[in-house]
Amino acid sequence: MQSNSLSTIANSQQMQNPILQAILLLAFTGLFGWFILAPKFTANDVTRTELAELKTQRQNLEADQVELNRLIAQMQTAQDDIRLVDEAVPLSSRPTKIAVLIEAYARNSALTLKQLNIDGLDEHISAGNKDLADNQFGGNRALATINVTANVSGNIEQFRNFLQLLEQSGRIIDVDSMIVSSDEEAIQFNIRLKTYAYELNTSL
Amino acid sequence: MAEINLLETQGRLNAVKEQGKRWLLRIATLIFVVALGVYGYLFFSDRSSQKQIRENRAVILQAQSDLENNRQRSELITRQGQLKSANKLLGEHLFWSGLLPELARVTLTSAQYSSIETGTEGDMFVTVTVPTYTDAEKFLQVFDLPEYNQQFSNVRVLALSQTQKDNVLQTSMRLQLILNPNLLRRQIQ
Repeated sequence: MQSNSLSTIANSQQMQNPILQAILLLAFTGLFGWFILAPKFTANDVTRTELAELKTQRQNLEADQVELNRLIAQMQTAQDDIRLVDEAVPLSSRPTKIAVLIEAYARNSALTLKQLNIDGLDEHISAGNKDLADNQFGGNRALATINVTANVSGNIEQFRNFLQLLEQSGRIIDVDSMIVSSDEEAIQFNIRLKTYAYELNTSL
Repeated sequence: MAEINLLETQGRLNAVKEQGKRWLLRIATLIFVVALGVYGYLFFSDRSSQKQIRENRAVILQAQSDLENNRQRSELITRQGQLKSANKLLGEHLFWSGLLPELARVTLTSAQYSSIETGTEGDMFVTVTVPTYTDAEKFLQVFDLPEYNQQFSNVRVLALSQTQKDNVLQTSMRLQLILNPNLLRRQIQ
């Protein structure tokens, strides 16, 4: 009954009119464009933008990878320079190394080392750090300052040699302050030094 | 005869109208087909873009994971930080071994120093001992000469006293001086 009526409508004189057919087709095309084509176009635009961003990100990552490989190769060929940097600012602030160094400089300049204090030792692990056993370069690092106070006695020339040894030291040692005082027996030199290590950042 | 002509004209006009209607339908159909074509293009383009997005995401994740797990990268970052710190420290490094000879040159070893206190701030405190007040005056006069006050200047006498030690009179002065920071700076080789 219904198909009969539809067939009747389709076969009716009005529906056979090409103008009506064209108008209906255009109306349908308009609706199709508005409700299906335009949202698809917008979605496609969003997808393309996302794809372009991802492509840029991928290119940047690939460029980073190339740069990283170049720097790693450069690092591997610069082992002598790395040794120098490692000596200047070591990766460990182990105080015994500093004490051995200062003691050697005092001895080499014929000064008597009367006292040596190293401050701020509890902040960093000096030996047996299990976190670094797996990857010695893992973790965040920052420059750590180690304060050293030394009391030496001798003459001015010996002390000058001591200062020169500190200046020429492979490890960076800065003189923060010094007090020279003389008594009956010898001249006392109280010197405050700063040395550094590129240590694991404990504040993080 | 005239009626026959009118009928012919009417027939032609109807034929043109009919043809125009059909062309209009054809154009409408063409627009519809083009719209369908555009939709098809967008559909396949979107699918292709989605596929590329998935591929790119996988590559990016893999590359990020490779970068993060690269142990040599950790070493590189550490070495870079180490080198940067070392360069900064070397740029600020002071050379103290030149201080004492310069102080001796300026004061021409005319005095005995019983104490010298100095730091990186630029202030310097010295306690000197000379035999008489006249020697103390001469000691201070040296700092008025341009040749000698380049490294040590603005000398303030904080204390001046005379005491007898082992039957000898000694004049002591506690001085505050400004130390030229350039004296301690030297070009790193």
